[in-house]
Amino acid sequence: MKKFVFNNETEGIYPLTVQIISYIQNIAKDIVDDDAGFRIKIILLELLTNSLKHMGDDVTRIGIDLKNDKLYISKQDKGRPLEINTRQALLTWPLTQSKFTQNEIAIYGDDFGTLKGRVKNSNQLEFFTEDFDVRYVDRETIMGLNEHYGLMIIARASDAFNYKHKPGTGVNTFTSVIELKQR
Amino acid sequence: MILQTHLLDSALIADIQLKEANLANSDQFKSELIILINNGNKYIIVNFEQVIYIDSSFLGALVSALKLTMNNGGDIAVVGLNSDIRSLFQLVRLDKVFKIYTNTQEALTGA
Repeated sequence: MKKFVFNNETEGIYPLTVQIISYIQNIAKDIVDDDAGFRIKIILLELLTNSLKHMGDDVTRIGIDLKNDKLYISKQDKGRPLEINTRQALLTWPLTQSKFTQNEIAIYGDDFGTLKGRVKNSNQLEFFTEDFDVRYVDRETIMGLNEHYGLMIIARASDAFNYKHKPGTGVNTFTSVIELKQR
Repeated sequence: MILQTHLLDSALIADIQLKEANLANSDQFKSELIILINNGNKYIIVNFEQVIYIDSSFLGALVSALKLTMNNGGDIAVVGLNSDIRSLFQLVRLDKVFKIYTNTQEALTGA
């Protein structure tokens, strides 16, 4: 796995994104088409933005791995664990499953879709989206729009996206997986 | 100032003077848009021509401003999106919410 260090400064977001994309294009040049290129870019931008929001002065490590045409983009830090205030409960780590009526948690959403988390175990959440086909957008739809897009963007752009919290070390890891296709 | 504005016909054109539309400037962008809306501008065309990427914070600010505009009986159109930004709007379904035009002239004629 190739690792890149992000110093959690806004100015570093775009240069590092460009640097990582360049590395990925180099190791996977025959399997990164325009669509995959777009998805990789926004996932990196959102992971780094997420880091800026939650980290402070420490560094974040971005890991890139390619195995069997699957690209793994991970973000690792020792910042605050992921905190999500769902309608059902405030997520704290380790997750207590008894807080939820089922192992799927609605995190946020609007008429167009909901970002959900599937509890894999007490220290791992797998994100996915439930999308709805909205044919007519009226004022009510717009007024009800979600204004938080970060995790939703990554979840929609990824083929799989999860979060792990390691209690002993306090390490948080987000991992996005993109299935690349041979041209 | 992030937004450079001028009136054209019945619309206010707001050119974003940024290359990177991200967390560092989304609050200011939202504040400036809110001032424009509260000043009575009904139809605002936000021009992204200079922007190379936009993040979730900036999208959230844009949506928040749209809600305020609609409450005031107005609307916001966006123009000058590069292909990645346009794809991002599609990914989060905001292409169904905002009127998206290639350029200001198209937005003025509603083409």
